[in-house]
Amino acid sequence: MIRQTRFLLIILLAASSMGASAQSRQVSYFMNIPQNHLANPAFKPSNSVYIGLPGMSGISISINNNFLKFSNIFMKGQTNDSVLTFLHPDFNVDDFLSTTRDKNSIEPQLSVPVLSVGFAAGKDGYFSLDIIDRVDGNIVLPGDLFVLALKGNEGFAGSKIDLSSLRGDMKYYREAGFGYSRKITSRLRLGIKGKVLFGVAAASIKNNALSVTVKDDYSHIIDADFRVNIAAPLKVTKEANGDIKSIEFDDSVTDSPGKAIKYALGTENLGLGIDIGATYDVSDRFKVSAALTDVGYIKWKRDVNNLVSSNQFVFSGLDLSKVIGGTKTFDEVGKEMQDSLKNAFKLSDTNEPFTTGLPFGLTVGGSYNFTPSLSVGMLSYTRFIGKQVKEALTLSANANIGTSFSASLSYTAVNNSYDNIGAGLALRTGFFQFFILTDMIPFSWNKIVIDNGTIPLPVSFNTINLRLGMNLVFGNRVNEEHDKPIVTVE
Amino acid sequence: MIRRLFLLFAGVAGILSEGCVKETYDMNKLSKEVHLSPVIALSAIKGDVSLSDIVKSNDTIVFGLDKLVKIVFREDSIVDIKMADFYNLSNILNLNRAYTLGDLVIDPFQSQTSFTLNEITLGLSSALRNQFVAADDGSLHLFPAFPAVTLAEKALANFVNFETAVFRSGYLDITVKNNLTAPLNGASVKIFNTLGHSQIGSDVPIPAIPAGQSRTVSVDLADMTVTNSLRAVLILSGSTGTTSPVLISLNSSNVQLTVAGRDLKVKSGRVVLPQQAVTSFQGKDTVTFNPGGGLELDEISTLSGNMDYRIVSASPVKVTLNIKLPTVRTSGVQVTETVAVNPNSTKTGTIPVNNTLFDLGSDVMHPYNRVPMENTLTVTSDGSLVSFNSTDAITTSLKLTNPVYDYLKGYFGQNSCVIASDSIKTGFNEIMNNITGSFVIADPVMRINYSNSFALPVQLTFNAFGKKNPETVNLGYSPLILEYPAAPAEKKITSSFSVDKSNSAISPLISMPPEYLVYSGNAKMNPAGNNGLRDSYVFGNSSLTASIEMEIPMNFRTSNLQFADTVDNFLKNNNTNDDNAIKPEDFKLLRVDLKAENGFPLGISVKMSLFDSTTGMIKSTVDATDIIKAAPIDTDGKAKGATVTATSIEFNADFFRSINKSDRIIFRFSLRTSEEGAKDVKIYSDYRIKFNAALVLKSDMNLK
Repeated sequence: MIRQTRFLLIILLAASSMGASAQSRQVSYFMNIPQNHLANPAFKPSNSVYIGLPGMSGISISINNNFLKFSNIFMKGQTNDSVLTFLHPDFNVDDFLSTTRDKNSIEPQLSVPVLSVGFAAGKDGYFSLDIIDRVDGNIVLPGDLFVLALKGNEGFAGSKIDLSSLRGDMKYYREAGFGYSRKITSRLRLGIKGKVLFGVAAASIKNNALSVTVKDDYSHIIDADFRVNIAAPLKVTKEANGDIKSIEFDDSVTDSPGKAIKYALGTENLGLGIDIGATYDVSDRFKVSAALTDVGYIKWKRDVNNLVSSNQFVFSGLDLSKVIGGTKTFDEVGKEMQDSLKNAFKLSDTNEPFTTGLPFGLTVGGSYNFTPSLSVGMLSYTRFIGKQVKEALTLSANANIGTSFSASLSYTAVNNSYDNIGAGLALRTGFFQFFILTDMIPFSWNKIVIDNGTIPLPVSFNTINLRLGMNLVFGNRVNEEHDKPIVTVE
Repeated sequence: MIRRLFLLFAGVAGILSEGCVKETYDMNKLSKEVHLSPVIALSAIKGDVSLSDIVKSNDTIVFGLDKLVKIVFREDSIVDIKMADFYNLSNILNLNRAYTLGDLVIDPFQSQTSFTLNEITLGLSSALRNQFVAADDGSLHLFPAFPAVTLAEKALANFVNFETAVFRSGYLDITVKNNLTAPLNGASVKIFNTLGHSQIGSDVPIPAIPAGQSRTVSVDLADMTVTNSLRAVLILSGSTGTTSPVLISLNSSNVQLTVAGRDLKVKSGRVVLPQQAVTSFQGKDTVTFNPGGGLELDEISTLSGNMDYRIVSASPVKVTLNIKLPTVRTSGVQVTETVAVNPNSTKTGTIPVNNTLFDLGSDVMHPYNRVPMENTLTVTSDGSLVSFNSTDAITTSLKLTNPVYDYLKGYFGQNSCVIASDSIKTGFNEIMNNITGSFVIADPVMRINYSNSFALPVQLTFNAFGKKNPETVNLGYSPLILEYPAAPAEKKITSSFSVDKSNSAISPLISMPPEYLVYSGNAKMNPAGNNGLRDSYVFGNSSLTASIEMEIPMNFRTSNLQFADTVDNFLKNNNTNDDNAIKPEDFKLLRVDLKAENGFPLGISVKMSLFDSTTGMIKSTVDATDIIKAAPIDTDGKAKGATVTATSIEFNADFFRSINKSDRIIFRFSLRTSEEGAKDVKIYSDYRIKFNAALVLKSDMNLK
């Protein structure tokens, strides 16, 4: 049990030290695989028809953060090859804290294609249908939170512990998108994809204000104004006075596979989304493209609980005046303070539907073809997560040889990390196209020994993603006169 | 081309996956040392309190009108003297008298008889009789002379107002009337009691009686016994007859004998006693009160009560006694009472004396404890014959019962009452056991509060001393005369006297400070004796109660008063198996940042030492000297502002390591008044102290 716990801890710590980019969009953008139309709906796959097999056509998992690396958490000991955590007395906590930022984000993302179908329509049109299950999360931890946890509050005397950036958003939804792209002019091609979103579960923290002011006499002023919206099968039990007693998962929803499936396929939480894109051939060799993706929202109505708290609480010590005066006992004063704190931040529970927006992305890219098969590209992908803006800039060298082989080698600057070399490879044999993509290829590895096994982990990365899958592809229009892949040069 | 590119990718992948292993982390050797050492700083406590918030005014701690704090020790009823402790005034009147009825008057009585000429002549010679018979012819004849003749004895009619009587005085008038037509030369009368035929007195000579006239001779009945049935013998001394013819009638002419008693007083007998005042009864008496104890009462006023009387008659007559107390007035009216007592019986009764004033000083010769009494006694046999004797008597008793006095005026003697020795435990010893150094209480006052309703001089002697073994300090307070009410208008006075440093040694006594205050004494009335005025008053509920009140104004100074106490080491963790993540030794630092704005003229220093009683060693000490500094004072010793003190008390790792090596904690508190204890300071209830304390704690939490 202890061993299992330790293993889990290590994995979690390691996982949390990874970061993610835009789900390998950077690498796949200039490759000749059907999935790149997800990054820009104006892209037209080179195949007349493609079918993404359920669960197999591009499962993408990514976890990224902008502050932690494995080496920030674990270090080699001076003797006995021991491994120390950052909480070891020999570990300088300040070194750990120096790696944190004002806003430290962790973004887990998972997309599992259920069904992907695309086919050419007429001379210039192309339809696509994608059903994808997506889990999208974004957690922001204020830097002061780490300082508070590891060094305490003394250092904040005379200042404020700013936790206003604390945010959390996690949602699981199903996206059904129907896209169409068409060549408008000889150089311009536009694409659009309309999406219907089916929310399954979500939780989000809306933090309007959260801070602790520490005065010179160590009295504290706690300001909190936040709202937690939850749409999930939870049971909220309340006390007689309306106070929340407990929040538990409602097991009745999942006590049989049928119920779980029925819940997952529910349509009460509906939303809409849209992707729009364009490509433009500046010249025969130089092309530019842009896309606005994942613009949309979901209105959550099912199993909604809103937990709201807003107040200010000043703690300047237990006032012993009445204890000294004999009118109250120390316990009573302590209880009053406890009640006061409890009441100040009492959670009120409502069931009002709420809306969450999708973190949308703006993609702008350009490529230059040296030969019909070789090109270089530059891609900017900006992701807007609420007030947070994430930017990734990728330079890539791409090889697209016919419909059988497509490869890309990329360099990406993202999440304050500048050593991300990515690569993608797609091969077609017959009707099958296999692909694997990653935005970051670690050049040096740490070998993690657990029990008798070994796990290789990149020495320094905070962004990891991996997409791999298989498509059924039919037809090849690359050689047709009027239907060429955008990244190929005739 | 495709092949070349594939080989390129494969090569790169191979290099990446195997070529650059930088470090090997053997998680099997992951250190379990997981520590968290945050520095937590928290404002822990605060307060803004005045002394009146801390200590409530109560029986012991008193805030004066000027807010000066005083410690007051009280002991009630150190003196509780009531009337009964001095005097027994419940039975001050108990009068017993016996009254003899003496000689009584009976009404006069009378009886008569006559002797006809015919009966007279029967005692004469026949010849002479014949002359009288012959002359009884209706014509006038010379009345023949005749010689002395003894007439036959005759019974007199019975008397009704006595049956027999022995007279103290009185007379029996014997009258002989000559109804003959010739004069009588005289006569002699003999009176006999029919019973025993005893003669009453001797023969009664009657002088010559002219015709038609009568002669009376009185017999003194003193000491004579007379019955109501008498017989008489008349002896005529003869007659000279007439020289002129007269009518001679044997049956119409006679000699009449009358016997009558008058001015009769009987000593005894069986008599009918008419209603009469008993003259042997003088009618004036004196009721003497006996309050005892040398008391000389001039006046008594009762609110309620009774004079109970009991009259026992040993006489066959009905007796009526009238009692009058001229100087005793109930609601302004003289007290009188009339009591009728049937023959040979007892009569009891009550004379209420509610709202009654007794003047006991009306006798100029003995102007106290006496009231005059005027009585009258009447008797009667109500027309019946009673067996009376002049020695018959009635006895009377008079008693004042259940008196509730309004007041008594007079002289009340020199009674004394002892105040039993007792003590007040001050509780100082429990504190002082742990205190060293000295302090001086500047102005203690012991106040004796008393309530006195004895309107007369009472001298109180109050002895007290402080005791702190083996040391004693005497109070040295002289006796004093207590104030008393200006009676009768004022019935009670409440007053007090103070024992202070000007009239006693109280200041050194209190500054001992004593464990016990031992007191005793006595109260003496009229210490100057009797001035003859008898103008003092006591009241029915007169009492003298006194309480003692030790008042210690918080006016003192001390330069180094130290309080030390040793307690069990409550910080020590005795549970060796305790798996609590935080142990005392895990603390690297505990700092208490104390800020005090002190308005008290007292400064405090604190030392806390961890002590190992086994080795007798102090393991670690935290010294917080001048943790709170005293406020500045004015010339009167009153704080005139506040002193701000900011102190950090650090409990370092050494201290925490020593916690589990020590079994005791010694606390030492030092107290110093303002200006280094050189001046007296006063403590007022509105002094304030404002403080806050923050804890800064750095612990090393092992989370393994």
